[in-house]
Amino acid sequence: MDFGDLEQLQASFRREAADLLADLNDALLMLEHDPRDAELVNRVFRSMHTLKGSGASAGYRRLTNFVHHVEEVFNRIRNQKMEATGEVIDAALKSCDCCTILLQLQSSDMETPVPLEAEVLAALLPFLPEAAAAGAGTAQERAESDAPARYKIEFQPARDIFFSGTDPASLLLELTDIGALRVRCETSDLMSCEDFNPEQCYLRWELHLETAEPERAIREIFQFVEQDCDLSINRETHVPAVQSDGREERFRGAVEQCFFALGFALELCQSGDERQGLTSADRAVQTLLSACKAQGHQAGITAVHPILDAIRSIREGAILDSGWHTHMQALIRSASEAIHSTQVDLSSLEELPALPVIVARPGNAPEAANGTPAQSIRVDADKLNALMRLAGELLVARGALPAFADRIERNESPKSMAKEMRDAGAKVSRLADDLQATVMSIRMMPVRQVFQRFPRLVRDLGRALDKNMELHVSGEETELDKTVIESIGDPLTHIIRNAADHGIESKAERTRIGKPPAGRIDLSAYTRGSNVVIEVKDDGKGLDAEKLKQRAIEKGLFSPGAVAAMDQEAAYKIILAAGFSTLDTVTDLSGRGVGMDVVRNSVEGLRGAIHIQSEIGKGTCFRIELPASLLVSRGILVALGGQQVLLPMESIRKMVKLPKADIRTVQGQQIAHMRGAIFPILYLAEALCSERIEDLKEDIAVVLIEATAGPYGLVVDRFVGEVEVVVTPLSGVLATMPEYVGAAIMGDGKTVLVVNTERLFALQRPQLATPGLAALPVAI
Amino acid sequence: MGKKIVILAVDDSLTMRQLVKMTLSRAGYDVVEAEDGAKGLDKASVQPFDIVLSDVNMPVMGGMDLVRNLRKLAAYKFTPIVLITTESQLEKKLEGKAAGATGWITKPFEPEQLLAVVTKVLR
Repeated sequence: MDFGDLEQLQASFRREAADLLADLNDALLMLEHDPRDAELVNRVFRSMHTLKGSGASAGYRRLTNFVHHVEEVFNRIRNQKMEATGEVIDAALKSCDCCTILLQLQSSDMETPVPLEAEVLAALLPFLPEAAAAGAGTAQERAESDAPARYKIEFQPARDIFFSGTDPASLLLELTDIGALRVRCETSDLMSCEDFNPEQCYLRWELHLETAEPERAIREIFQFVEQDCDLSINRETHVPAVQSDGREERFRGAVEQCFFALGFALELCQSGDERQGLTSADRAVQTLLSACKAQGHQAGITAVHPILDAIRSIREGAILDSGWHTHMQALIRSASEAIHSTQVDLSSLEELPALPVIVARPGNAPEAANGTPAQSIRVDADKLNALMRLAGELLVARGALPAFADRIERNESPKSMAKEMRDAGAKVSRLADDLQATVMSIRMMPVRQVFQRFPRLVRDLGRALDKNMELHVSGEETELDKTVIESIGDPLTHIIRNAADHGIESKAERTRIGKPPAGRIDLSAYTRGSNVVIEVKDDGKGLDAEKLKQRAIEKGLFSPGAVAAMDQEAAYKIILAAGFSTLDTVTDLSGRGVGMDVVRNSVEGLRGAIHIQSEIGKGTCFRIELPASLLVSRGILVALGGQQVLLPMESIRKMVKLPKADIRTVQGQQIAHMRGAIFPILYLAEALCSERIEDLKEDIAVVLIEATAGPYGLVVDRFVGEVEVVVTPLSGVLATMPEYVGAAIMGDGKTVLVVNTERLFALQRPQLATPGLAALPVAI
Repeated sequence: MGKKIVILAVDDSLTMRQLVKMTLSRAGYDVVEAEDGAKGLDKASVQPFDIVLSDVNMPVMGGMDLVRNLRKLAAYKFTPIVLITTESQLEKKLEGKAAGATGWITKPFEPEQLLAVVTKVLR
């Protein structure tokens, strides 16, 4: 594996791991409620097991080691050696977080301290079986493997062994890999020619193997057939006196093994796992050295030493040249020659399987040229099938068109064809619409992807704040654009934290006022028109508008006049203002008063809006309205001087024509009177730096914009019409202009800019951060 | 060496499929991937493979059923089929053997272990 492959593998693993961790988290939370559910324990174990397995394969050694310990504990729970106590589950949940951190590190990073790692391991240590037992086991094995032994193996395969894809002869060949083998084949069961069935195995074998490997190694060779054969492996107690040629043969076998292992170790180094590779190489060379010493092979000893030194230098970092592999291979080659040259009989040695050659290739990691990771999207197979079906239908429909051309050429009456052509056109257009809708739907993902992290959040908050809280989630299937899904997690986290921290009362308080002891947070999503609404509702103490207003004035966030003019909701929205916090003591959980204005910014950035409803003593509800899809939007095209711009539909409350007289100037601010309500007015032409409109017509076209900060009227030259467009983000210089959110390509191929109605007012009237007519005298 | 050896790798985990593919194609084998037993069976019935490597737990059709179905095909009577299991317990191995699997490899495995098993069953 070269570097590019490894990168690709690791990228896949990180995606897979994120899914596994999410599932693990869910399973652990459920297990906490029902610690005896064996199926859940199994699910937890399986997830960890897969995480460990794939992690090891992708080269995440540190993560693998870490998960191994946690998995071990759950293995014990699974085998009913211990119970899933709150303590264990708590540690396991933390281990998920820790894995997320470890996944962000370089896969080879073993050093960067991760405090959580130590914390989790310390918490689990009492539950882990003694590590000493494992150590003792390997030591014993090593002792056993040192002494060569002779084994008598009787092997009678099942008659139908071929049907499991096994060739018994291959096993005998494999035995010759680990030692000297004498074979005796028993053919007495063979059938006469007419009864002989070539698909059956009639042979059995008596084998004598002399090997330095433990019995385990022999069993390993037979591991796949143990159930399909009669097998007995007996260590022959009487080891015949070592003859000189036997000794030579053993030495030769050991040497071959060492070189083979060395080859693999180098390969491992080249595939990127230098640490592990060098460890294996070191071990192989050490063994080779001791074999040479035992044999008294002086040339061998001399030739092997340089390899050992080289490995040591590389491990100590003394050799930084990445081309050391070539150097190392040369050393190994000369050692191999030195050892083999004095060997007389090499011809009988079975040819070793060729080592796979590793060819270095330029990396092909899936990274875009600018270095940002390539984005991938998981697509539901049904959607993909629908797409293929539509593409097919479209091809068929297109096929009808040349036929029309032929008919026109043949001078068929065009009139009779008109209907048919219209029908064909309608068909193509329907297919095109469907095609677009399906392509769009591929970008849509269920909000479950974001929601699934919140049960854990609420649980952790409950523990940290010592409050009882339940999270009720609904509408997880509601779909949102991928971009929205990816950006909505943080704002929701802030809102939920805020609800848990400031909304829900303490246990004692809830009991005192007669509320159920467990606080309730409802998280729901549903579709409304082309928007998706996400609600976070708590049954806590609610927001106190008066207190908020007072606080806003004290903090100097708003002028007393502005505050006085605020309605209930505007007052609630004070908590979304930058630098606002109702608590003097900053809690660790809700952040340092920076949280909630982040919420507003993120939601506005997604062209969404926030509404807050609250009732003292009953609770608070945050309602976030988001466009379900960012790409296709409906909008109103308006004319402005000689050009046109687009206003996003979701921000428009209504469009009216007002008599000139209804617009007045009060304290330098233009306002409009509309059906009993008053709104500040902004001239779009002025806002977009075109020109000041001097002579207005009698009727003025005003678009009433519903911005999160409050409504305002936008004066345009005239309304052009409603359009459905694909909006693309701006790039280059235009991307730095906050007045626009993107560009839309119109049906005729022209491009129009999409106005950022959400921020336009604030940009033009920074002194009036809330347009809600804040500083204006109320009586007009 | 003669004809190039073609291996079918069946696993629902992309990571595992990639690992298997990379390891084996480096070693000079051709690897064809399938995401579940059913897809694996489809591919196996139109193209002969020299070895089939399959995960056990997969949606649609698991590894055990894949082995049983493959063994029913004349072309796969004697083909080595290796199961990739996460369970290291004996029962799974026995079940696999009973279904007709040649052997197994237990996850997690190092690339060289995989190569060793493939070399072993190919011999």
